[in-house]
Amino acid sequence: MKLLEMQEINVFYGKAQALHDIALDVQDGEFVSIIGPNGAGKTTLFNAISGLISYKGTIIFGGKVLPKKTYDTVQLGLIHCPEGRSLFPFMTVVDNLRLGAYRRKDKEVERDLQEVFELFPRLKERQRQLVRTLSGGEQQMVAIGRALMGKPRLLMLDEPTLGLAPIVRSHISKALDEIQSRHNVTILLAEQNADFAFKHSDRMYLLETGKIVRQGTSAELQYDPYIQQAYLGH
Amino acid sequence: MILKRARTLTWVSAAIILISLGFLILVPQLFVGNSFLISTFVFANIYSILAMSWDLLSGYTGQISFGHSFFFGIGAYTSALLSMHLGWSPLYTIPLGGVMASLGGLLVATPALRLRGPYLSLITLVSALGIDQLIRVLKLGSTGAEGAIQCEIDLATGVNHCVPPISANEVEVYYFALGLMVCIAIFLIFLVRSRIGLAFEAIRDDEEAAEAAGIDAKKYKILAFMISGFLAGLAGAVMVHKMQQASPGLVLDLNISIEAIVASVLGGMGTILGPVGGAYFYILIRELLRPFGQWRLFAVFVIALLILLFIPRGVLAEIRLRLMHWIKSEKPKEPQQGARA
Amino acid sequence: MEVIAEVLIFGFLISSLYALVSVGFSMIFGVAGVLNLAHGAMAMFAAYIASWAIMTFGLGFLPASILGVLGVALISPILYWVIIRPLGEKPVVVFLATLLLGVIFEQAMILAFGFNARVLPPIIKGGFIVFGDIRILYNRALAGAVAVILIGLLWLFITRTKYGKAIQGISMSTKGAALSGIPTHKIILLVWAISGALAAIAGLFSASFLGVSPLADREFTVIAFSTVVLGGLGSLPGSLLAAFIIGYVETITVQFAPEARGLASLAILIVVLILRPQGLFGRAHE
Repeated sequence: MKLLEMQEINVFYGKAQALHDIALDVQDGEFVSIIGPNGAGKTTLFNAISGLISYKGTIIFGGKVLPKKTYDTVQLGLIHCPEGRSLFPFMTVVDNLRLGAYRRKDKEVERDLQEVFELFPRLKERQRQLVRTLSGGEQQMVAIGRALMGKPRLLMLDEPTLGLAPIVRSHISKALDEIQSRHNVTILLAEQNADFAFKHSDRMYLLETGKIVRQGTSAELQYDPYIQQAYLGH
Repeated sequence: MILKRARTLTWVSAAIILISLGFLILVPQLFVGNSFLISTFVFANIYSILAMSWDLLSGYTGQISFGHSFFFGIGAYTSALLSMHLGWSPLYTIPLGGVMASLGGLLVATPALRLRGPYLSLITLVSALGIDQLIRVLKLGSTGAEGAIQCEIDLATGVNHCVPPISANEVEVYYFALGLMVCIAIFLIFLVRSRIGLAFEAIRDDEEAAEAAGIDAKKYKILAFMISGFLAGLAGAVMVHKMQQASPGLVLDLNISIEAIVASVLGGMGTILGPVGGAYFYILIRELLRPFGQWRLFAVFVIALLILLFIPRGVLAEIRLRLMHWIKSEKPKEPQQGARA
Repeated sequence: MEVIAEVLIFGFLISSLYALVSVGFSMIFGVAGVLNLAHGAMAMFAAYIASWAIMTFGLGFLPASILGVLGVALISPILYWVIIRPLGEKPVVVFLATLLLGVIFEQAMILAFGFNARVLPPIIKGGFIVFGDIRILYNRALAGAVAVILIGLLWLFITRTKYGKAIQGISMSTKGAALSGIPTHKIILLVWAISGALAAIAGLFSASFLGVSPLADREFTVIAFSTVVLGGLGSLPGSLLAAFIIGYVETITVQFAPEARGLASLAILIVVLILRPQGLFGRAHE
């Protein structure tokens, strides 16, 4: 079943067009990546999907038209973990995580909090610390944890490894595997780092200057000469 | 076609400015003997200078001042005290009032250099409130009461000392104020088109970017404060000789700062001539519609707020922009689609 | 000794009212990024509503005050929604718009009630609390107690409840809050209502000591603006501390050099801003 589906999505900044006729879909349980260089429009696309900016066109989520307001998209379980993280720096780790569950009224919030702590034991140790005192990698863990606390049907991760050391990147990488296997969360990832994306994705889209220029399964695209040359450095 | 329309636009603007100026020159002839009306036009010119001064610092350079009465008051008190006690002609003391206010600008600019946005605005507000208090506490006015300067009789000689008028002839006073206003307007129009004006705008739009482009933001901010202070000081000095008295309530009240802002908002910030139009509009309504009591001020402030809401560029700039688009035969750009959270 | 006790007590009473005005101003800046120069007008407006209700309907001070607080708690979010929010992310325009709103309120009060000051009756008439030789009117003591209790409750609300944490979250990252599913607009409206109500309460008490006039809002706004900048924009503890600094400085100058009353706090403000441009507890706002 298709969880997310869109055709001809266009985004304008004033007169400049940032995204052109984006068509994209994500199946339930899939891990899909959008790769492309800096400035290609990955963040713009994510911001449009989660309603942070306005767009022309219709997005279908879970078989229904996706509302265009952030608040409503979050209520449906479309959780966007943004580039730059947008954490609450003067609050503790645990408060940041709990705010991620703001929309939820079910009784499993505490259980999910423990699961986030199992996923990132580092956060459990530092749960009373202010987020601003954490390292970049730890802050990224808080950001992913906060998104998980929102009980996502679709988790959109925007550049989760940007600026992180290789060792930290591998922590995040392991966590993503676990999130997908254990919690069966559908993931849409935006990445400049194609290697990282190939490692996790079932399918991928290549976005360049606001247009989708390649798409296919990871296996197919891995041997695409253009991608090999431009993104994988072979 | 475009060229023809552009030329028409230039001619139309020039014609409007010349006709307005012609009317202003003829005011004393048109309203002979009506000293209330002529006084009103004098006030309109004084407020035009004040509003242009605010516009230079806040509209052009982006340093939002809530305390222009600080400069206005310094100019007024300096000129009043010098002319009254030393017997100097207002023609000398008015520029000196401007110079003192300019030094006041330097004084405010020094702490203001490290401050931005609301912090800076607060400093300007605090300076204005502070000097108001200071003059009351020091009893700067020789009459004593709350720092007011009024006529006083020298008991030894029996001579009545007053703040002298610029001229006993109200028509001359009018032409003095109008001439000063026009000269300042011309000066400012050239200034904002010069490299200095470009630097001011660059600082307003993005101070970091301006510095990165090699503009010494500190230097230009001090300059903006000093020129703006000088002009507001001139306005205050002319005012004090027009009224022949000074008190914190008359020349240092927060209302003066608010009126300067309202005039600029009415005409359009960052356009120099817009605030002149705004000042005329404001003063004419304030003076001529007195029978409507407080309703007139209420209405003016509401209009100013509506302009901020619906024509944020200001009336003059909006008209100019629409004409420009008409010349290029384009529809004006829709307001930018902003991000929403 | 007595002088010191007097300064301590009266300084505390005045500071707590300043704090009441300032925390609201600070919260509005925190969540909406707006320096609301019409904040003082809210305090003044509440006093006029109460005065009008007393004169017109013969209400007692308490019901009239409740009416004033509710009226402001209603009008404050409406002003935000109808006038401030549509202006968008243009700080200068928003700043000037709130200034104009303030003067429009002043003119409206002049039109409706005239220039003359009005005094509200005290909520508790007569009577003193006596500490040695110092006598405090019940009404003043009540104002201090109410202010302290309200600030305490506000503190619990902000730090312990879900809504309060949402308020903190929005003030640190509006985007992060929206993406966490916090209804940012509703919370911001709630903050405008709470802030208006707190200012209203301060305005009502102040009007029962000193009366209220159509330009009374300016003093409230200047105090709120000064304390919040002194404390550091966006920091509630900073605003509270600054309210007490300014309140005590004023009380001390009134005691020893009454003529310099207004000057001392202005001087402190300038000195602090020169030494610490970001205020005492300033922090960045995304």
